[in-house]
Amino acid sequence: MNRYTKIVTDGLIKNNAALKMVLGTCATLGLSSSASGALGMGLSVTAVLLISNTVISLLKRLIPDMVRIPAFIVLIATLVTLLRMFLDKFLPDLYEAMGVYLPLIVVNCIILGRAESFASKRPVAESALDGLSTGLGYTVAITVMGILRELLGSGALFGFHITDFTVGFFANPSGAFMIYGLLLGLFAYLSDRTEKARRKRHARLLRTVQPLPVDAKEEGHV
Amino acid sequence: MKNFFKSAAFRSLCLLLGISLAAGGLLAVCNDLLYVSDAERLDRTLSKIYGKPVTTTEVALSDELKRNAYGNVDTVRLTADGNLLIKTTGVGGYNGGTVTVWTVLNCDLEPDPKLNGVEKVVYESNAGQSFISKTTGLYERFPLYNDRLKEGTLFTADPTADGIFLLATGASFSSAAACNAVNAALTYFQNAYGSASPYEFAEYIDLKNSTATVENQAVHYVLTVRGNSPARAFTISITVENQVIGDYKIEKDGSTTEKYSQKIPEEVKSGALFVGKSREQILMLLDGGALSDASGILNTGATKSTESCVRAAAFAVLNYEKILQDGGLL
Repeated sequence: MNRYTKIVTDGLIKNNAALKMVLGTCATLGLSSSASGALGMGLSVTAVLLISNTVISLLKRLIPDMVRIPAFIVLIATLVTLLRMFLDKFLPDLYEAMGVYLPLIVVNCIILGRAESFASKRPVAESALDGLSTGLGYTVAITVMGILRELLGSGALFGFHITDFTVGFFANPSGAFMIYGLLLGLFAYLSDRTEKARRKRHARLLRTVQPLPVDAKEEGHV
Repeated sequence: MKNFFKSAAFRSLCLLLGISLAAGGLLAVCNDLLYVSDAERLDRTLSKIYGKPVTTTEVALSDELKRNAYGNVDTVRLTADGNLLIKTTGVGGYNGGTVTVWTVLNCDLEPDPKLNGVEKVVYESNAGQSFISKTTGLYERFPLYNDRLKEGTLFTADPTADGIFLLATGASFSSAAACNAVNAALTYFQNAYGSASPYEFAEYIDLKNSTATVENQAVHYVLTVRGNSPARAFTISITVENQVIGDYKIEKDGSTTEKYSQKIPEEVKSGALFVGKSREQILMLLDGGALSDASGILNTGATKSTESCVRAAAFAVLNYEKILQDGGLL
């Protein structure tokens, strides 16, 4: 696996921000009552992550270590403010749907976390890819949660009515916690199974490799 | 000093300042480029309501018209086709929250103002309504009852109350607030363009289901107080004699549950608070149509029910002379 593939799989699956690292939980719980709101939040976080990782990676040599966190926060806050202006101008419905959670992206620990742990140490291309894949991993997780909550809580999907059967609990914050917990459990279970299967395959592969005969070793073939 | 300018601290300070200035400059430029004016916001709303941009003119709102029993009237606009576009916030939602809608009233303002019905209701926003998504289909149903609106009937989300019953399943409180928002628009039209009621506080009383009989100098009322969401309609019998309330009795308690009924102050339930009181003394209990706790005993957790009881007393005592003169309700 080359380093770019590793960055992508880490961001999307292995270190999924919402389901593995459990980061950005406030927005995940608050904005997952509808699939479209969740998708909008995910894409907004992705856009900010992509640009902030790129900019921070570009400036990493300029920013002294002792003021890196304030510098990152100023940069991220600027990007989020720009995103707010952009959404208010061109996507007002999404802007209204995201409400207070949009400015809260500034303090989303996924963004500051990736800036601190990755972008401030790695080249621009890798940082941009990391921002994109981490953002998309988060988008998929929050959108799946939004789909489940909207379907169960309101009987709709992306605003379109699907069924009359609804359980109001899932539209509430308590329902968000339950769905999030179930998804975390499911993700951990699937990750464990995949890891176990990978280890088994690896062990089987090792067993199938025949040890060299003793004579061969003695004759200097090894 | 020289050392300070060469230090890492100074460089850090300069860098932070530089980043802040660059970010500030960028934001200032983008703020100009991406500025959304009030006119643009209004156009967006109008496009959402009509599906296309339309020309409207703002109608000035006096303080009396900005608030009625069903909520607040936020904006009124006159469209090119002569209809009224009214933004109202209806009270009575879940946990005291509200629902804001735009209502298009099909009406003729000239020569004699006449309401033809509700043409369209478009949801705008809410405050604290968790189940608002369940009310999606509700707004399309308002225009289906225009024949009943001509009789002066309003909307209700309460099956036991009088009115056009409209409810979104699983969101009864939000439905009540949505109904109230449309009622607020209809009441605005009545207040602004309709023939004014000859009675004071008439907007709180269902006059069709109320009676007043005159006997010598006494007026005996049986008043149906309109639902004051979430409280339902109350029926109260009151006798007013020589401009003071002589008797007061709640015939039908419209409190949502027994718990709220018990929270109505005993002085209100028994009528002791009103008996012997003149119009000035009763008016001290109200601020406009809302409860004002000048007595210090009214806010006991059943504000809406108590408010309905005080409104009935106010109607009875304020209109005593007119009804005495007319020999009954007109």
